[in-house]
Amino acid sequence: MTTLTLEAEVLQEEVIRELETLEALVLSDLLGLYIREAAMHLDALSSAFDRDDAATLGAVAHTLKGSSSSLGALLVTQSADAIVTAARTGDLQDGFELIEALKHALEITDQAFRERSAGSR
Amino acid sequence: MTAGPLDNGWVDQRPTLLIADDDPVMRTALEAQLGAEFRVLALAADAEEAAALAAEHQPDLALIDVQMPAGGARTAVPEIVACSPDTCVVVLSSDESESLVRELLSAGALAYVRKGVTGSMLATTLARALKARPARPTDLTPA
Repeated sequence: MTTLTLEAEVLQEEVIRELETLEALVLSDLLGLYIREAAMHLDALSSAFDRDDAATLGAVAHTLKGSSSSLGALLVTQSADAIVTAARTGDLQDGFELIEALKHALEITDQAFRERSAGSR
Repeated sequence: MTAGPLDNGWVDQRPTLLIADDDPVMRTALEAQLGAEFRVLALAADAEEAAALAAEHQPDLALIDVQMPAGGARTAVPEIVACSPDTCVVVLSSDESESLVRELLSAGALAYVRKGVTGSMLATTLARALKARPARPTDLTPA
């Protein structure tokens, strides 16, 4: 019997390959800034969800989606997009799960960036 | 094109660029990705700052995020067109509606590009927009 394992794509290869042409220090600083800002966005999203504040949820997720797509963080882009959509429709019923999924996506992405960085040295 | 003198006497022929985005990650990423082909003169974090820096620096190009504080691209694009008419304005959009993008193009933006494209695609779009920029009218008044 063949077992098929479906793994979600974490990074967008085309974007990452171009970013890797930047100077190592510049890229390291950029990715460090992204991860720190993303962690702050995650805190802001959790607070907004606790307040039922759909407008802030949408705005913060939109910002995170934009920077994530520019840095090839595909999984985070998709997770942030799901929150943007939920905030736009006002349906925050699954908000907690969406934020947890985003947190998980950020952890995997941070790890993937570190592995790429270690591999390119 | 605005040529800038370098310390070694050579003239920097790269087109000059203003980047406006409220997200520090985007400003840093765009500056890093475009810095080889464009001379980044200034970085702005909102529409008001973008217009002020465009007036001050008169860049060849301005890359303007749609959603920013102080009115976003809706405010920044017409103000830049008014205060720096030779600047080629390109809008950086995320998932904004087509009607908003059309409105910005009508307000004077020459092109728009979506976040998530590679740095080289973005640089190509900016270079194409610069080529498509209407030529400055030549003053034919007799001396």
